[in-house]
Formats: sequence, structure tokens, C-alpha cells
Amino acid sequence: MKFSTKLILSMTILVAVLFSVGGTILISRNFKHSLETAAAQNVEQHLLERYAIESNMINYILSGESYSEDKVADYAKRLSGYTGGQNKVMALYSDAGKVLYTNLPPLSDKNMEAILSQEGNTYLIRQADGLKYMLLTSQLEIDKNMVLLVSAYDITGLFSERDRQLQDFLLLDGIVILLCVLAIGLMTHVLTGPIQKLNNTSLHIANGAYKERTRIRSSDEIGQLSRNFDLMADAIEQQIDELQLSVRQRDDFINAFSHEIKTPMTAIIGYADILRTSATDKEKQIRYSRTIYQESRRLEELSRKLMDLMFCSEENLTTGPQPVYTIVHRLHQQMEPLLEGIRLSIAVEPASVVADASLLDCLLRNLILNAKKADPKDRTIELYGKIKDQAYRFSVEDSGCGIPPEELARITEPFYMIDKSRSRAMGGSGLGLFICSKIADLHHTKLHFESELGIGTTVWFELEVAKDI
Amino acid sequence: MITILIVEDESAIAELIQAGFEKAGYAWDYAADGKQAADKIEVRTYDLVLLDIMLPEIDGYELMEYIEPLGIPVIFLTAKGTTSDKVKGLRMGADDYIVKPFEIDELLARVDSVLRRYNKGQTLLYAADVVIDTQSRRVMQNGQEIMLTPKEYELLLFLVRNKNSALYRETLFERVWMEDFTGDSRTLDLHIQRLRKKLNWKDRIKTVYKIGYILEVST
Repeated sequence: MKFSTKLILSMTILVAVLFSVGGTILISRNFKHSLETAAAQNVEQHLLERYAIESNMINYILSGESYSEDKVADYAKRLSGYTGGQNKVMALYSDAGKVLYTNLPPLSDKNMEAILSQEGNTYLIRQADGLKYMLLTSQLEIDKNMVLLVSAYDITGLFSERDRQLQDFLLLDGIVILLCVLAIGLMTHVLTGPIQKLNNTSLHIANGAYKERTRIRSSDEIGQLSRNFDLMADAIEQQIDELQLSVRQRDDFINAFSHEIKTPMTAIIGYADILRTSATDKEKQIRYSRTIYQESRRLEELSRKLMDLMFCSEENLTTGPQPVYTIVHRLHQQMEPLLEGIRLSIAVEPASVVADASLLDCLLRNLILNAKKADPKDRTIELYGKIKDQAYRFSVEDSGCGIPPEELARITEPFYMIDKSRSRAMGGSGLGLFICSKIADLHHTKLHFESELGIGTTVWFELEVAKDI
Repeated sequence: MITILIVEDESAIAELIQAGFEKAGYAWDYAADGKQAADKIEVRTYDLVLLDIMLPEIDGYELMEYIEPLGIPVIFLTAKGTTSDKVKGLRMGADDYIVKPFEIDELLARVDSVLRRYNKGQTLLYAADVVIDTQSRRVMQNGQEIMLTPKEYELLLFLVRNKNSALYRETLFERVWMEDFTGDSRTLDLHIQRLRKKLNWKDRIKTVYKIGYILEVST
């Protein structure tokens, strides 16, 4: 059952019960009160009737006559016909149970028995001939003769008044319940509207519409829920975007990687196949084997770069203070044979930086090899190290071919090469700068490229200076 | 003459394919990127395009959309080897999809098959007085059918396809019998002798010292 239906039903039942019970109690109390008033009046009336009969009979006896049942009946008859238009309804019974006089409406024997046996100031209410009567009974003693007087008073008016009140109340009750349903319905609609909206939005989000928000602007709990819900949706959307981006990046990487690995493999297999199938002439043999050699070197370079890349992860990161001098000295020794006559000029301020030694080494080595590939005109690569605003800035400068400005944004993408054939000839894998930027990320720093076509390139990055050595 | 456009940014692979096409007797043209390829296709028609997907400038998929309405058969030649990549390529209207690394013989066989589908292929191979119908696998010499066993037929086909090249015994054996060569060349030698006898080609199928065999046919 819907929440609004539940609310409407429960509220309506509550109001109906409370109102009906209250109204009924009020009416019945009212009725009881008028019944008591009527009873008091009737008791008085009954006493009057009784005295009237008694005194009359006593006077009669005092005048020398003797008691006779006929006389009593005769007097009762007169009394009942007496006061104004309204007849008195009464009955007289002798001690032996004989009816002396009656103008009572017909009542069953059982009822009569109950009426006759009641004592004191009690009364009974019985229905006869469609009318309601209040019946009172008392015993008269006239000259040692016992007579039972039964008076009946018409109280139909009291009952019909009560019935009328009940009818009116029922009508009122109906109207109140109807109004109640309408009012509560309206109220729950206003109250549950935002909940419905939350519900719809969460369904939409579950179905993939991650951009949907509830945006309920109220200061109550539902408004708060909505704001928190929207915050949650923001977080989820961001997470999903990041996930999708990383999946896309991974797919791109795998695609590029399989291309990079399958191309040399195809060439190696193909040329080797030609060589082993038929005896080719000397010139072709040399050309094919050279291609096989070059493509194998390319595969080897790729596998080496992949190993580097595998080590670029948080788990393998062990940062600590690294004396710049030690790192640069080792680098210089390693690089010398690889630079093929290009001079590596080093000018570093002594300090220690917070870094992972082997990754920093890898980063600088890659930057220097890249500078070498740019073919510096003065055949020199410069490596600087300076303390600048509490950070240590490494920069690698060359006077090579430079990077076109429109390519700058993409050079750190995996397998991106500005000039593929030239890069191939230089033994490039397209992974060098990608690895460099990964290492920079791991050190919470960024690579900055400043380059001018035909003039040269400067790459710099900053590391934290270690406090004490 | 059948002319095939090779669209491939890796020169090593392009050269390899060119060598294969030369041997198979196809003319070829070469484009190093998608843009060059589009320019070339605009200027003249090709019988088939061999298309790499990861290309600079315009990639293979984009180029495919350009070529498709022209009705030129296309074979994708790519490193993208997942089923979904293949399905995508074939859905776009490519006639075949070859994943790198491939062997040159396989490439040639697939090219033949696509060309045949377009009724452009060479179903008949000629060598001296012999005609081989590769579709019905029948060999005719001077109008008479020569009955060959399947292995003899394969051996003849390989020799004819590589005519005037000295072929190594090991490779010949591997290609025809599809098994690794174990050093025993008697089976191969026996089949060569039977071919020489059936075709009366004693002078054409020659033994090359230390290498293997050569089919000499004047061209």
C-alpha cells in the first residue's frame, strides 16, 4: 500500500473513531440527563396521584362509608379523565391481584409482572402501541386495604429527540470524515510529493541516468535527505566518470600496446619466413636481416620500458631523502656510453630531495635520452638543479629540434610519437614520456615543457627538499 | 593487372607485403597514412585495399566509410584482434579481417579468396606447359589432365607460386606437410621425383646443392 494511502486511511479512521465516540457520548449523556429530569417530574406526579387517591378514599371512609373496590376504581377513572386534555394513564390492582381499574396500553404478562413487583423510587420503560412509557408503581394502604397503583407517563418525545440528534450527528460525522479525507489527502500529497520525486530520481539513477538530481529545496528532513542524496549522486557520478575514464585509458593503452608489439612481430616473422623459404640474393638478405634486427631491438626496448612502467606504482615507491650529488654522479656514469659523443653538462646545487632513488634515476635518464633524440645542435645536454622557493627544481635543456606547440599536450600520452618514422629510427617506443609523467605523478609533481621549434626544449619538475641530512 | 593499395604506416610491414605481392604477381601502390590513401583512391581505382586501422591522420574505420560506397573490396590488416573489433570491421563492409602478426602466405591466400569472390582473382596458374586451376584443384598439361595426389598437388602449387626461387627443403616440407621438419627429407624427395615423372619435368625441377629445389620456368 502506498504511504499516502496508509496515511489517509489511518488518519481518517482515527478522526472518525474519535469524533463518533465523542459525539455518541455527548448525545447519550444528554439523553440520560433528560431522562432523569423526566423521571423526577414523573415520580412527583405519581406521588400526587397517589395522595389524591389516598386522601380521597380516606375522606370517603371518614364520611362513614365503607371501603369498596368499586369506589376506588371509580375514583381512579375520574382522576385519569381529569386534568385538562391530557389523560392520565394508570392502573389500580387489589391485593389479590384483581384489576380494579386500567387504561394502560396492552403490555405482556411478563412485563406486567416486572412492573408490579418493582419497589421504591424505581421506574421501568416499556413500549406499547408504538409509544414509550415510563412506568412507576407504589402501594397504597386505604383502611387496611392494600392497593397497587401503576402510573404510566408518555416519554416518546425524549426518545424521538435522541434519535433526531443521532441522525443529525450521523450526517455531521459523514461530512467531517469526507472533509478529513480531502484535507489529509491534500496534506499527504504535499508531504509525499518530494518522497515521490526522490523515488523517481533514484530509479532513474539506478537505470543509468547518473546526471539526475532531486534538488528539493526545503529545510525539513526530506529536504536534508534530498541534499544528501544529491551529494551521494555527485560522488557516484564522479566515481563512475573516473572509472569509465580509466577503463577507456586502459583500453586505449592495450590497443596501442598490441599494435606496438604486433607490428615488429609481424615484420620479424614475415622477413624470417622469406629468408628461410627461398635462397634470396645477398642484397635482399642483408636488408631483411637488418629489418629483423631493428624490429627485434624495438621489441626489446618496448619490453624494457614496460618493466619500467611496472615499477611505477605506489607499492614499489620508497621515498626518502636522496642526495642530489650521488644521484647525478651515478647518472653521469651510466649515461656517458649511451650518449654517443653528446656531452652531458651538469650543474646542480648540493641538497637532498625527497624521492624514490631508482624512479628519479629513471625519470632523469628518460629525459636526457629524449633530449638526445632531439638532436641538439651544440651536441650538449644540460642538467640543472636549483633550490627555488623551498622546492628543488631539476631541468633538462637541449638545443634540439623542439616540439610543435600543438603537440605539447599529447606528448605524455602512451605510444604517442610526433614523428613516428623518425622516432622508430631512433629506437623510440613512445612510452618514455608517459613513464616520466607517471613517475612525476607518484612524486606529486608535474612535468613542465617549454619548447620552441628549431631552438630547443626545456623540461623541468620540482621535488620537495629533504629537511635534514 | 590486379593492383592493390597497401595502407600501412609501418614501412617494415608495408615492404614485407610488397615483397609478397611481387612474388604473387600483383601490382601494388602504397599509402603511409589515411589521408594519402584517400587521395590515391580519389585519383584511380584499385582492385583491393589492404587497410590498417591504427593510422595517423585518418584512421582505418573512417577511411572504410569513405571506400565502402565505391565498392572496392577491403581487407582490414590490424593488431586489433578482439572478436568485437573483427565484428565491427566486418559489419562496416570489409571483406576480410587479418590480425597481426600474420604470415605472408596466409595474407596472399586471403587476398586471392577475396579477389575470386569479386571475379577478379587468378584461379588459373601457368607454369611452362602446365595450367593449374586452383578452384577445382585440377592440373592440365597440353590439354590433358594429370592425376596428382593431394600432397603432390600442394607441392606443385608451392613450387609454381615460388617459381624461379631456390626453396629450402625444410620449409618446403613444413609448408606442404604442415609438420615440423625432423631432418628426414626422403618423403619430400620421393614426391619431387614423382612430380618430375608425372609432368615430365626432369629439367625444370632442379636440385640445388645444400639448399633444396628450384622450379625453373622461363618468364
